[in-house]
Amino acid sequence: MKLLRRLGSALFVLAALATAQAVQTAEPTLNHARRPFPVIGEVGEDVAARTFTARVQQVRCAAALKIGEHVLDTQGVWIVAKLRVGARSEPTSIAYAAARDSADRVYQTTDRISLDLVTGGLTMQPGLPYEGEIAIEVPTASAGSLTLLLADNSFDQRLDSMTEIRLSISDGSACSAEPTTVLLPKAVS
Amino acid sequence: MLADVSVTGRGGLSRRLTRGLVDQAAPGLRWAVAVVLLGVSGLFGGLDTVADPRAETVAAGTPVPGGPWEVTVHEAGVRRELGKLRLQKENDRWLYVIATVRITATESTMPPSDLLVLEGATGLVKPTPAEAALERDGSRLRLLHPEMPERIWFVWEQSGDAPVPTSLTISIEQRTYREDSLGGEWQWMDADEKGDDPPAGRVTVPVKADLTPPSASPSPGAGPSPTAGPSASARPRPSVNPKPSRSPSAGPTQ
Repeated sequence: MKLLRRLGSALFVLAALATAQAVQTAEPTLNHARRPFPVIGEVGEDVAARTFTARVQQVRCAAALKIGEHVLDTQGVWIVAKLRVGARSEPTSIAYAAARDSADRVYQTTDRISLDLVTGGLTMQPGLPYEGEIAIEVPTASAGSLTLLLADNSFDQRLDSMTEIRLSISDGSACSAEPTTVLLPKAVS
Repeated sequence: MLADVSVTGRGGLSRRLTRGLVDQAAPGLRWAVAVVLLGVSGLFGGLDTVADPRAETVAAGTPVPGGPWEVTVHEAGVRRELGKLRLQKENDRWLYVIATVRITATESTMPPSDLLVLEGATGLVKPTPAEAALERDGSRLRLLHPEMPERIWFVWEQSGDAPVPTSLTISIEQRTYREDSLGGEWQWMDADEKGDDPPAGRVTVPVKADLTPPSASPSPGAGPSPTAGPSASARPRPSVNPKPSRSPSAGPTQ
């Protein structure tokens, strides 16, 4: 009887350990628990994050960018989105912009050109929105399944709102072969 | 009898208790206990496959996975002149390595400055590259994007007093996706918190030497064209942003 009791105790301890392990494995990771709060919208509509609003006015894709006399090619395609952005109640800037594809790969805006509109270089005042364009390099196969992500913090987007706007490009292979320009940001009334 | 099992003598409590338990039950129970222990060990990761910590040396052209990136070293060389780069000392020379870097992580990533470490080269002005630039347009290496591999020139300045290497061994840095012991989040970090990780792999390549004076330099067909090399230090970074002191056009403002 003693032997059975001891074996039973041992099995009970093992079962408790296995249960604890299962619970620990099943609970979400901190990355998941602290993920940004998505604010979802469509092209052409205003989407309000905690500190800013954003609207994708147009989106297009091209094989190359023409910036002044420079032509920047890519092994994929360039996604160029025209944005209208503004601060909500206090001065702020957008410091993170990226496109996420259907495979959950995240492509940040290019740093081959300077894009102050979404890299923290432009402080927006409430009531004074800006319009301008941003450019993102993505593989051609990803161009048809992109969602634009915008946030106000470049390093840490956790536990804060992030706009998610589905980009209306149906097919990356139908992008323009001609280089396209990127509009400067400008204040609009 | 179980009561005969001593728990006070020499040999340790657990050993005597275990032996007593097993012997009292049945000889065959030892195997059952062993199987159960193995199973429990597996439940907690004891049977997981563990990577060989020794860095493998591979041939040029072989992809080396390093966690969030995969590096394929193609060739190495030494030159007196490389694009528009300027040596700190006239007598120095450039060591370069051409490699393709593919981001295998799910987010755009800026490779660290010590992604490639040269072994067997002496007299380097600094251990990290003086420049790293995309081959296709000479722009400086910055963010690389997932599944968009780039062929990159990594360039070190070597003292003219140091011997010209005939071959280079290039070790490739790696990162591990693991839980941060401070913040508890999962991210790409050094596997070892001291930063003493072994490299992901090593590649040994012969060095192509082209040390002829610039005026007598061979035609581009003799090797990689100098114009294909990095010119990042001289290349402007186009800007689409307005600069108060410059034209508001979308052209480069440098």
